[in-house]
Amino acid sequence: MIDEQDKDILERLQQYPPLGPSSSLRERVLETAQHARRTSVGVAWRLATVAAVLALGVTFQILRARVEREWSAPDITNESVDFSYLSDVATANRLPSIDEPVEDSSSTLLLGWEQ
Amino acid sequence: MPDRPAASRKRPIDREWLTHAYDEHVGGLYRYALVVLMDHALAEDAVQSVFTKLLSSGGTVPDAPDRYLRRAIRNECLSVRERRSRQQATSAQPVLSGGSAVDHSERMAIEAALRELPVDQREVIVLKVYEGMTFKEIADLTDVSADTVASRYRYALNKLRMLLDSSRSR
Repeated sequence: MIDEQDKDILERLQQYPPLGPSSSLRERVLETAQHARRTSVGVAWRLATVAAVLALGVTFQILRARVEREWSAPDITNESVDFSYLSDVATANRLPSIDEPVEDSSSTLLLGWEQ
Repeated sequence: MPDRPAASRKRPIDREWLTHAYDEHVGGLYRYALVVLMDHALAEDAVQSVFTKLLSSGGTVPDAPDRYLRRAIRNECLSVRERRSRQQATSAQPVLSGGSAVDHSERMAIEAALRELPVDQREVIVLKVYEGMTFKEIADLTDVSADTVASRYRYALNKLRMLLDSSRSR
């Protein structure tokens, strides 16, 4: 609902509309927008490259650790390892020589079998 | 609204589209920014910022460019106003056109009256009087009810009348 007073105000407002943009704004906007686009694409590429390199590095480190853990041999040159038990094992498991007499228990057993 | 093919909906924003959008919408966007900010340099910066962000976002063409751009320029202007309120810089450059070079007292009076309005009322005036939008469209844009828009418009007209009458009587 527009009364006469409103009509007067509206007419006066419409008689003086806001000014338009300057002619240089178009070039400025389009140039800046294009530059910003290039910059953002460049930054995106750089970020993607850095992320890819980091991912490769981490993957390589994980694989290397895994290979080292599963494929590395024990360090037998370590001087702290005690090999003295080997001589005891050798003595205990020694085979009798040919000219060594047979033990009594086994001969008794054999004799009993023959009987 | 008729269905458009998927290809056109998914079209990325490129320089060609941006140029077309600028030529089609810059008038309304600039007038809005100018009346809200009451400063040419700030209005130009706001328009530039909207289009720059649009292209550098790498997004796709909006379904309703007019609505999208109006909302974008509004957000930009509110953000500029927030920053400017700390500096309180005001420009002496005229923001309205029309009137003769000799007698521009009427234009100056209207401009001074517009500056006196709160920004939400000034916003309704520019969108309703200069852009020809309905209360419903303004309500959708400004996220308030159509009744609120109508009362802002009423308050704005009353205040303008009061200010212009007092300037006439002086």
